[in-house]
Amino acid sequence: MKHIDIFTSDVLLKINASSIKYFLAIDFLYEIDHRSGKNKFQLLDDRLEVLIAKKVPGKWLTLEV
Amino acid sequence: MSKPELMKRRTDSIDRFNAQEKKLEEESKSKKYQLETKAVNDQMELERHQRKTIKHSMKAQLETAKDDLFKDLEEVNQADAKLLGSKKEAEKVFKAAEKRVQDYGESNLTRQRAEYDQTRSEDIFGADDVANHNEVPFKKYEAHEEIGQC
Repeated sequence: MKHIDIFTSDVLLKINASSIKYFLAIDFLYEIDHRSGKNKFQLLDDRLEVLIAKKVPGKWLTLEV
Repeated sequence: MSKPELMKRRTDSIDRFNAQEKKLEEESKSKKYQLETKAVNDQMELERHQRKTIKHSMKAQLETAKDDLFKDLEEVNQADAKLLGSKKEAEKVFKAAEKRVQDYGESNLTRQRAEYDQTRSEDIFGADDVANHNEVPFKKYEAHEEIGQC
């Protein structure tokens, strides 16, 4: 079983899979709703799908700072 | 955005996250305490209500029993009043009953004495009856003589 540590705050997403030495940090330009029940993190065969709700619905021009 | 600014932005975001977590934890504790207090108060209120209900029920039972008792007493009093009418009537009835008992006693004694006298005069032989009987030979025995078989 792969151990993946996922952390989300209002403008940050951190993913750390130490077993495969993988680290990802995304600094969102706008705030996300990191406590939303709609947020979903699903580990598939060869990828990790991440679904995070926006704090304010609308179109983002860019994802990161 | 420079890297120090970016790191500061991340640190601030994590601090906000931790502050939110702490706040949520305190709210959860407070909510838990409120729920426990409410549960205790509800339980106390329930027990108070039960005690009140039991007290009212006992009082109602007592009142019902007293009403029944007074009702029975009233019926007895009415029956007594109907039977005796008044105190004078009661004394009259009592005296009449006493006289009946006395009369019965006297009449019974008189009757018994009359029956005894009748029985004695008809069925029992007296000394005169035997002494005056002339047809049957009669022998007088002295005390030292044997009477023999009759």
